[in-house]
Amino acid sequence: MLKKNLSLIIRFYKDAKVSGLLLFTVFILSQFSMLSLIGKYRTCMQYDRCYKSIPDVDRSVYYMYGENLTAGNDFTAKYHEVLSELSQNSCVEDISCRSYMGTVIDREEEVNVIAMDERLLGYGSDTGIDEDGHIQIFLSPDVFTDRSVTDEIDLQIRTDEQTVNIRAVISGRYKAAEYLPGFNIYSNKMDCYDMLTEYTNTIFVVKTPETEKLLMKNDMYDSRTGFIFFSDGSAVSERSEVLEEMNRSGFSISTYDDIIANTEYKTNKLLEDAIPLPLMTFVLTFLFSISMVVLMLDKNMQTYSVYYLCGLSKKKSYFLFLSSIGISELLAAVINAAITLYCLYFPERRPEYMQDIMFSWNNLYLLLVQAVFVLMIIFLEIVITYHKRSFIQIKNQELK
Amino acid sequence: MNIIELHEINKTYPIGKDRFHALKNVSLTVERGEMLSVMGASGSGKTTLLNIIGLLDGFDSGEYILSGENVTKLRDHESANIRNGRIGFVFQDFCLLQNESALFNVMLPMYFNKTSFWKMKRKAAETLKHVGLQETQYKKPVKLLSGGQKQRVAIARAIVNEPDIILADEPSGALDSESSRQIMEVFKELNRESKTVIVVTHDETVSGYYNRVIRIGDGRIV
Repeated sequence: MLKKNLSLIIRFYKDAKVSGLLLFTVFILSQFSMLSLIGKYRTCMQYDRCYKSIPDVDRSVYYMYGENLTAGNDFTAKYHEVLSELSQNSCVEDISCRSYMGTVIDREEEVNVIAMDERLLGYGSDTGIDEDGHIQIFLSPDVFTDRSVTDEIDLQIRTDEQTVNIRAVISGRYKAAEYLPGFNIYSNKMDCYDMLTEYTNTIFVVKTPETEKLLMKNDMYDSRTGFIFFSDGSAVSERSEVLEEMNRSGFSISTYDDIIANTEYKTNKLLEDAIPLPLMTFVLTFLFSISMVVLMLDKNMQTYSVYYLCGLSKKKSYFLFLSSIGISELLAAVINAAITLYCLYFPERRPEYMQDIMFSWNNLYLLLVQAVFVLMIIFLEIVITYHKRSFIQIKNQELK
Repeated sequence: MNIIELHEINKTYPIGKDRFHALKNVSLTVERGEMLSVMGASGSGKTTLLNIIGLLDGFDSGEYILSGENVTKLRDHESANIRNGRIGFVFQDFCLLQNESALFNVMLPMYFNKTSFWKMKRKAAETLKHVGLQETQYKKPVKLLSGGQKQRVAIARAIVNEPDIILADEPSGALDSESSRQIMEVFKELNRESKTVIVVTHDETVSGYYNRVIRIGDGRIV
């Protein structure tokens, strides 16, 4: 029975090869534009989500020391001195910034080694070193792809002046689109988009006194931007004093509320700019696919009236109609699922125009939901165009 | 033994806001193995009668007994099963898939029953041979065949599932006189094989082929 049904399903496209190909293409485009639309929305939401997922970020401020991020090392001593003073304040729980530790070579390419606090990395132990004394490293998705988590690895970390050989253990690997603070932008309208970066080509270590000792403190370059986390329960007045002190010392500051408000504003603007085109593509291709289905049903009406004459019930006609269109929809979904998986597993190989589209495993469910939704509409079309017409009506209209 | 019994069948069609009464209290009995002709002028209701007998169309009131079974109110799949296995159809305009081969057209009814996929081709070829179509024509698209050949394909399709009843609506209407005679010979041969054949026609020249002729006019058997 399966062979018979398959044979009839294939024959659905026999006299409509071009229309069938067009319908298949439109299904692919429709599904892809839906994934793009949701992917762009997801990208915007991801920044907000990643920022809010930093522990205790709601009682933090984001700062920049000095006016120019590329001012060199002139301010370094003063900067560390001021940070040290600030950290003495009872309402300051932690000061967190990024340290550049040098580079290692992976497949003839330089990979940055970056140190950050455990709370910013979202991973790591208190010391950043495992029980065997190996430094824990966390990889961006594109680094050491031939190695697995728990593998041990010898790293030769180089700065301009010296090289350090370290035995490390791979303790984690970031998924694509895992945004972490980039610490390389500050603006007076600071938002999550400025703050967070999708790191590539990077090895992370947890910034602790122990790891700093191993990696040689002298060669670390601290970012001039960072977070100050206030302690839980500290008074507003105490925090204000610290902020005033920071202002006086040459810091620019953005509070959590400022960043959230700026992010919301920018997200709305980004969505206004980014959504209309894929939305329009989605709506147009969706409508076009429905029209194409109507045309194809009409084209096959004559054939199905002959099938009916030969003993095909109307119910089974719906099944065959639906399967014939469904197979095209399903194939398109398989192609889009393959694109999703490719982008998930090889994020660095994505084409440029797909960089801001966030792919997720949820895409597979979305494709399924869309396919079911489209098939329901098609079923409705079949009922409207076919169910109400008797064989006699179709024969009189189509066969004469 | 009666194979078809129609009792007080009424059939109307909507025409604008009015209804056209196509069949008026039609009662008809057909015995198994009969070769019956339904004759009448155009619009008299003979095709409507044939469609009702073939379960292609419903009716407003009355009762239909087929081989002793009341088929007045059947479900979609039940009437489909009867169309597939117990009734074969032949039409003036052939109702064939023009772009498909003669072989596929004859295989088609077997797609909707339990005949194995591998047996279908052989059985279709045997049936085409039985109705006298040359083997060289089997794989040709139907649109390339002559009218007489197309009608042979249509007959082969009608009998491939070995139905008891063959319904033909003006089967020689689109054929020349020689092809028409040959087709009627095929029907006669099928009747000899104990098939019940009902032919709707207005062609009086072939009346000699039938056991019985009924005439219909203005929706009534006269």
